[in-house]
Amino acid sequence: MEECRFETSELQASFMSSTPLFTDSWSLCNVANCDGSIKIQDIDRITYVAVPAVSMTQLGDLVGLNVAGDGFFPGLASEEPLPPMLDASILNLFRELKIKPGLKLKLVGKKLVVITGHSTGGALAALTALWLLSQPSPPSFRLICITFGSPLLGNQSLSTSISRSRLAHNFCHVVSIHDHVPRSSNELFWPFGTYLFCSDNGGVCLDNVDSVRRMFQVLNATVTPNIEEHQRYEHYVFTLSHMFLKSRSFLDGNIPENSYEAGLALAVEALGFASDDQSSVLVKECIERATRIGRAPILRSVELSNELANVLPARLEIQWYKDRCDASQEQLGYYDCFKRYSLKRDYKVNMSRKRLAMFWDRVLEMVETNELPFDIHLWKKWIYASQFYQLLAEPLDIANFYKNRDIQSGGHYLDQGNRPKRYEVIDKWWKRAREPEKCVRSTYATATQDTCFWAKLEEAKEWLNEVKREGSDAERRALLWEKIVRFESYANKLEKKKEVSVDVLAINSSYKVWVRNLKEFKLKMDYGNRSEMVIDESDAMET
Amino acid sequence: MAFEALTGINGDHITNSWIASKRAYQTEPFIRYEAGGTVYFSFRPSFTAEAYFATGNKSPFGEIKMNRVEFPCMRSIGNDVDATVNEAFLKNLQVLIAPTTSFHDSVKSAVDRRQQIVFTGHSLGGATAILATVWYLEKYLIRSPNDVPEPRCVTFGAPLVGDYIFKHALGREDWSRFFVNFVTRFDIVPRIMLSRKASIEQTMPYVLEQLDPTRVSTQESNERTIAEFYKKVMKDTSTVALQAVNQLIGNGEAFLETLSSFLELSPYKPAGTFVFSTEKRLVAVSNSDAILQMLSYTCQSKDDQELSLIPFQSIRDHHGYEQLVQSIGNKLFNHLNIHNLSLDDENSLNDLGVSTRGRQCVRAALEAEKQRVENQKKIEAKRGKIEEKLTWIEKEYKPKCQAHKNGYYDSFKVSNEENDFKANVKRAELAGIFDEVLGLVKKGQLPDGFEASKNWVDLATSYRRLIEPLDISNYHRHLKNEDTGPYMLRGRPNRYIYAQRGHEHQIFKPYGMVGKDVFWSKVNDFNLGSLPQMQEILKISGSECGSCFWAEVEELKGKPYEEVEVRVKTLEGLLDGWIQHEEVDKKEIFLEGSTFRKWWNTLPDNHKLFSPLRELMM
Repeated sequence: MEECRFETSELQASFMSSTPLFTDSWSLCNVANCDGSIKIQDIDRITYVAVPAVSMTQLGDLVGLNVAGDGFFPGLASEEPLPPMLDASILNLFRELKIKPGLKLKLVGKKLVVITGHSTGGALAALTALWLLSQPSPPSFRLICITFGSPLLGNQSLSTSISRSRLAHNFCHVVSIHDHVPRSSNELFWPFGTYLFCSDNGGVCLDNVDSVRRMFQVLNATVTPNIEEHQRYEHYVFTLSHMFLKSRSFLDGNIPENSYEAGLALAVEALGFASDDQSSVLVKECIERATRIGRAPILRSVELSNELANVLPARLEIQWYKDRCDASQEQLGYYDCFKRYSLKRDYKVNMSRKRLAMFWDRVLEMVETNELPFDIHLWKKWIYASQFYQLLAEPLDIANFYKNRDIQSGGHYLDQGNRPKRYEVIDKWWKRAREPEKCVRSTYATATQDTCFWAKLEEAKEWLNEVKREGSDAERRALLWEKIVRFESYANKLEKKKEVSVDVLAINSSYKVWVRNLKEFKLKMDYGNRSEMVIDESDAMET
Repeated sequence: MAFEALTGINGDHITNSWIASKRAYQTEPFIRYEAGGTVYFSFRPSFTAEAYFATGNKSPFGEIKMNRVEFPCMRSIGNDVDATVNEAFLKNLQVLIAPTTSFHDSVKSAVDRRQQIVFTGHSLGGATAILATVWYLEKYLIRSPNDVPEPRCVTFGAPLVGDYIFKHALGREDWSRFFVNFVTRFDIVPRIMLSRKASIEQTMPYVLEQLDPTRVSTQESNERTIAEFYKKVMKDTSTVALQAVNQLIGNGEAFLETLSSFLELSPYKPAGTFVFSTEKRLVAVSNSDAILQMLSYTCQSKDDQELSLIPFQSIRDHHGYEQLVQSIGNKLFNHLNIHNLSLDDENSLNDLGVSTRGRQCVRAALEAEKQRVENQKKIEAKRGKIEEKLTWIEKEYKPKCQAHKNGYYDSFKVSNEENDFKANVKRAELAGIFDEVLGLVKKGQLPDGFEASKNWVDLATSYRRLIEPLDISNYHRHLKNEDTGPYMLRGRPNRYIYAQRGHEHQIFKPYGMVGKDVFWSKVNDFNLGSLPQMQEILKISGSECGSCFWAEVEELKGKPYEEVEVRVKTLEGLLDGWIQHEEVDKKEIFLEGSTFRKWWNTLPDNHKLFSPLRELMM
């Protein structure tokens, strides 16, 4: 890990408070609070939406997001053990305000939208922003939410799913270090987004959830809360937005020569702690933690592309393996060769498969934890690299699954939870990327375009076997038969469009074996006529 | 004198530049002044809002792209973007350099006599001087670097002229050293372009009037307007500087990116060396990022009392150059660099009022440059690895394939042998290295000069010529042309496009031309159709670049001759040149089993009879 040479938390705060967003948001919050209604105003190119503060109700009860109604926050990824939960009173206020119906219309055609609010208005603003951001189709405008002295909105799961859904960077919470409202003592409530802590001396930004929580704890323990502080944001906004006029030198003794240490000392001072103060040590730790976290995402992605080059030989090895199998006299295809797993070559290729799986799992984990540039899934390089990987490797993963499958349990690769998550993510990336112009293929694709083709075949194999066994009841058999015919038609379509690779069509491949079995069975049962039943094209299995 | 060693100009140059600059106040757009064998061209400043923001310009900072034909060097190679400059400033230059003006003739006669030229100017005249220097560099110096004397550009309180790419291009061509910009500590003018037009539009006309040295003062100065102007400019300046330093350190964390996307941030960046002056001292800084931080932090005040005086001082300092020039011999001189920048009090930045925080930002900027140099070293360290792989392909793989009479392109396409697999691994590994470099280039993480280093461009060129055919082969082996689209449209990796641009820039810049124009004029000589027709036909053709020869062959192969006749003829016409310049390996393409030869043989007899390749195919 490279040494962290500079401390950015105070610079970030200075940057934020030097922008017109900071002052204009606050001005409109003020207007909204005075009038007690939502204000929408365009300033320069930016549309500000300010939600008024509502007199404080009893906060601190959590309700599940699902209570908010179906499809309320559909885009919010939730794979946490506990469901994301919101403050019940805030949710109620949000309903009562009836922000939803009108707002979307009013924002049509806007490019840049700031949603803001003070106190409970801040929490409502955050909820409104969250609602807009988590719609199935993301808003056509850029959105940032800036709150002032907002109470916490929800639990840890909510915070985590906001981060995972790449929404955390849309939130900035301005918080006075003396204001107790934003730091609930309720341990169930968790922050999310960037926090700008401010004092009379300046401000510090923290965007790491743990550090923000730690800072809350430090402040709870050391800074006496002041009821009036909650109304002093006017003062802080003015103070911070005028900081640029004056030079700020280190007040307190010798400045460390090391840039990072010096920056840290300045940041602690910006929060109004003297360096000989006991609590300044805690604050320092807190900031240190936040800023030392990892290296810059850009550099990491450059590094990662190096690693991608390092695992490339593994992918090429699988490619080579596939080509050898395709060319071999056995006419088996690489899916079945690998499933049989009898040669040393298969063993080697398995190592490559594992190596690649590890690499891609790591990449996608880094994406989820926001360690990479947050638009990396839109980079051509990564879209193509992941796609090439999946096309080639997923059939091997399927083969591996069925080779080791416990037949008793009967689970299939495509059943919930069996397919590695990386492929689902890559699928998503690929879908989001622009569709390539459709060309008519003159030869079979190098890799079967439906990467789950083999998994579908494995299911079809079982259906056919079950139908053959004649044990089950007629209704079930009819159902299975319909499925079989549907798969058959789907596979035919792929073959016709040449979207399968030659390994599928190899004479001894399990697909071809299945096709022959099916044909035999049809002849035997004289199903021939019945199978003529027309299958609606649109009914054909989804790719 | 240390100053001369750093900037290439001596005290006489400075004095004479200032004399010339003053003379330009009320004259023609420019004046010519000769002293000590050196010719000084100085330019008239103007003090109207239209002189800063061109009428009709809709951009928030009055900016416009430079024209690539006129200024072929002023662009980035890696990102293929032209430099942006202030439109009003550029217009001033364009009036001057029209072929019939006396300016044009005066410069030419100085060039003919091989006299040293200094372009200079005060205030906006300095901005014109900067652009005039760029014009001189593109028109004269680059075309005959050994015959034409290097110019100098000396400005006094000039506004910023160009964007990051402008600065980057000057750095890449090693031209930054010609520019010396004097800035008295509080002078507002060098900061004006960091501000949005919208924030200063109203107060600007009045303030500009105050800034005009020829103004006959008639009225009491309106302090409120001046204070307002000062605050707006400095606020925008500090936003720009803070955004820049956050980016330098943090490399664009998600929140900062979101925040930045809401802001209109000035594109202008300092270029050349800046010399900040106080009563006692001159401080020279050559790093653009550091200068930007200095522009922000040297203008802060230490207390409320100073704060009440600074706005007025920011006007007065614009008139302080006479004094600066007169006292220059008595001043201490420092060159600010990473080795002498302490965070503690005792240093040259103290005089300039740069706070601890400010010093830290300046240091961050200088550290970033150091990091760029480190990055370059890391890449240089990979040279051995790159060469080793290229050598294997050239000396082992190619001859082995040639033994099969079909060449490495075709052998790779079939990929039957262990060697093909090995070659594929080498191809992939090289791609990784070059992609890494391109990533650094695109993010500005390498020194400006890197892209112009001949060593690197040559290595990238041999890489492109030798390995791109394998990528094309791979692309078509996997039939990507069918499911993704033609190689030239969808498949060509950026690392090759980049390498091609770097190479073309290197060979065409002495002629003041860009690769694309050279290509089209060549095509035009074939007389196969009008230029627009040809451009339509060759829209996505591999003929654009020699190393894409195979991609074009693959595209033409599947199509009936009648449909692609023009493309076939173009390819044939270009082939001879490619072979001569070693873009295409003659030993490879004519082999008996090569896809190219096989395809060529299928062309109609009538075509083959008149083809320039007839002899070679015999």
